[in-house]
Amino acid sequence: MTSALDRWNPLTPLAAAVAMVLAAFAGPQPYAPVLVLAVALLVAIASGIGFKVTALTALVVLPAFALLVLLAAAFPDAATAQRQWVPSRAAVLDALAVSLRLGAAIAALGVVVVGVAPRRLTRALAARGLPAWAAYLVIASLEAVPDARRRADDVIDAQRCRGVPVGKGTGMRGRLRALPALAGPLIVGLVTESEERALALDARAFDPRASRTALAPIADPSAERWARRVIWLALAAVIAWRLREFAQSLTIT
Amino acid sequence: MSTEPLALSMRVRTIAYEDRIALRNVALDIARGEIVGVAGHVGAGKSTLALAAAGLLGRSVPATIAGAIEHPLGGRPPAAFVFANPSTQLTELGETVEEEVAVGPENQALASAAIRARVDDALAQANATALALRIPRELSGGELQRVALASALALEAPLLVLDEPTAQLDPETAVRFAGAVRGLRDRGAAVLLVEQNLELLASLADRVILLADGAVLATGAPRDVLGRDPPLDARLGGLRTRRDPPPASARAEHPSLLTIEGVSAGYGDREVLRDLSLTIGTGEVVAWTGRNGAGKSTLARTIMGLVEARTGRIRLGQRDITALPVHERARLIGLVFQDPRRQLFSRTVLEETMFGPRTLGLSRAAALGHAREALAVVELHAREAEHPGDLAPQLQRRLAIASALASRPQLLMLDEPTAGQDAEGRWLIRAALELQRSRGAAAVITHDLGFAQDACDHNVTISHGHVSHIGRISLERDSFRR
Amino acid sequence: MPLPARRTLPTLALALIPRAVALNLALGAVVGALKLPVYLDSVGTILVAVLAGPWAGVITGIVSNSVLGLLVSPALFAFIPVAIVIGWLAGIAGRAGAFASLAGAIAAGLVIGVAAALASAVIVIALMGGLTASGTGILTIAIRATLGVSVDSAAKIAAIATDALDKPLSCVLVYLVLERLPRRLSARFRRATA
Repeated sequence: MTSALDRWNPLTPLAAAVAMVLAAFAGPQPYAPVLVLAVALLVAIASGIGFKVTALTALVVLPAFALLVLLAAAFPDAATAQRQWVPSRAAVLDALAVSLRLGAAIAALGVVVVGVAPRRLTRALAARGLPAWAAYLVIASLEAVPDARRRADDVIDAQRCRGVPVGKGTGMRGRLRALPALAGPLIVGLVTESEERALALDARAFDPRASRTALAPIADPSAERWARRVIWLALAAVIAWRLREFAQSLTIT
Repeated sequence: MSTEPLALSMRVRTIAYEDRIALRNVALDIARGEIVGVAGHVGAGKSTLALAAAGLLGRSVPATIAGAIEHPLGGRPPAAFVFANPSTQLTELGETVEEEVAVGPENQALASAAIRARVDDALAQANATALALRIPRELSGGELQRVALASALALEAPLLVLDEPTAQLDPETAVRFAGAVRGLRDRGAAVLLVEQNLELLASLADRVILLADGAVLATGAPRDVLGRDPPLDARLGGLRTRRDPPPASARAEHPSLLTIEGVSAGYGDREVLRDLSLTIGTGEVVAWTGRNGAGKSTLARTIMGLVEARTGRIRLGQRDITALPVHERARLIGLVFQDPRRQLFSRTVLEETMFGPRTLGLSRAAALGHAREALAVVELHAREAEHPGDLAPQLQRRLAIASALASRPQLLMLDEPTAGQDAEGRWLIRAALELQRSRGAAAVITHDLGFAQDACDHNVTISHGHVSHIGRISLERDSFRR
Repeated sequence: MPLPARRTLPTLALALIPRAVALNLALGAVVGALKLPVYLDSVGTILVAVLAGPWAGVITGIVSNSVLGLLVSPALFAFIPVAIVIGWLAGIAGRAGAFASLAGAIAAGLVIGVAAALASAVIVIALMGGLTASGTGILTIAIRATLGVSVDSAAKIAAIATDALDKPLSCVLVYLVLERLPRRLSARFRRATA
């Protein structure tokens, strides 16, 4: 999976996304989240991943909004203590503000998660000091997932051939009893396999603490390094401004 | 003896694991440009020797070594290793084949250009250049094994250790792998090769060490060690392999047990079986052969009910089983998959064998009887109290076959049962098939035409999802010579 | 063998974690085949924690939820602390010998289940405005969230029942597997991480 974002060093979109998330929460409300959401979705559309990122965002925003409105309706302000099944306008606006903040965060991170290959991202982090063992854990896990899914299917088939019933026609008790017969070989098999995998790592001179080089290092042009510095500075400015405002609000009360 | 510098100098009195001594009194030197072969039965200490020679024992695998293992040419690491299992020896750090091959040099912290040179060179030496940009997960066992070889070569370690590298390959692929190893030797590599296939070993090795029960039985030129009288298998296996082979059935008339009429089946849009018809007679043992992807495994899965027959009928005896659910069919039909580890979960070999009969509703006593009988056939009865996970892979496969036998199906189907088996294992699998013959019928999916000729009455060739040929097995012996 | 100055995970535990993470995701296939109303998505985390200690369990939880975040939705990054709690508690329970018996495993599962539910409630509340609310505000919202959710929606009651069943069942599976691992292998894990 490649997208337009793969032209960048993965750390640049990552830095931008993290900054946008923090800005959405720390920046002036409700403008900051709206701006972040809009920018994230525009970038997503421009990179050809607009649909996926929008779907991810909607999947979080809509249920969150619905839940908050429902809660507000069911439990109105403690002051009135009167259950009224229609939420107040203020409550709806409040729910909208919270959902927007969440949506902004999901959209910003979604651009990175969908648009940057996870393996590339991990390698870029490894080049900047993520320890070899941590990089291994992420990359090998991504690799192990499809393997384990296939193994699970194989185990299910093998055990069905030995008479373990699955699917319709078996009661809850029967299905619970079948669980160890299906999950057991899968788990035992994966644990046993880790012994072989460990041996393979050792045989390839892997040292969890040593630094590794790369066949094809990910380019990190100086323009991008400067861009990231600017992002961090801007973010620091927003947070400082926000902290000052917070301190002022404390002295007033 | 070669005058080239030594890559390995090993003088070992004992190598012990926690509970037992696995190897004793081994003296072994390997020089550059030399292939030293190791032969012996399952449990003879071959893998222990291989791991020790590579310097992995005691470091990665807990073991106590009394003696000295030296790698005079040094190296970081001093030895590269290729394991038997094609898929589990990948580090998973590479997304493509060339990235996987690069993992070793990356660990050695080489510069990018040097890594690139190593990767290209290693891929070429392992006949794997064409695979460079493929995804490892999508490769066949034979292709993966060449990737594993390339990954080992990329380390440029002075010594190369191969532990049954062809065990899980079909004979044709094994021959090609052997060719790659021979090329390495000719370019000056020092190789320790553990190999089950004695013909292949004899054709490759300059010297051979024969192990039995953790000690060196003989050492010398291949023809002296492997070719002497009495035959090697007799010396290794004692009386057992000198028994007469099980009698092949000479019955001409086979009332049909399994009848398949016009079956089509597949996965999603992909149709694998196309209007396939086939019968297996009572008392028959048949081989199903054909290329990878021809539909052999899908045929077995369809008969078992794991894959739905979209058209046609499947009958067992007089009974139409086309719509019978899998767990009901399990009373009538057994299917043993290629990888026995997909089903092992019990604490002991005996319990594992009893699992099928118990699941099918047999009493404990009956299941015990069936299980003991099945274990005796594949000669695992002496190990019934052991943990299945502690058995060698070859024995695990025999255990899986015993587990299926214990359910006493009318039809037993085995998928590549002989991969990785030595002569004794093949003999025992034949014995299991002969027992099955007396109870119904059996089908064997195999690339191993030698085994098919010995064990099966006739051969059904499957190609492009239907039966393309039925007949006697005509065997052109694979030659391992150049 | 002298201990390394800086403790790191031995290669064996390191190689186990990716498989545990994959297990967390792959058991869904088994649950789906059996149509059981549970997730079993922390079995791998609990298993590593018991085999290799709380620290390894915590790392497994972090990697597992990070991978989920990368593969499914970044919203799941927010629940990394829940996975940490599960991994850490399971490791402590393992050290305390809870997984030596079936009853102990079930008890551990109940504790882990309650702790995990609390941790996710706190995260949900924090994300949904708790960050700006005062302490008592968080509390009232928490009560509202639990009451409101369980009283008003039958589906949510089912979800809570699932949660209550999920962790004990996961722990029972881990117990069964530990019983059935080759002794040689479980001894290696204990030695490697002791």
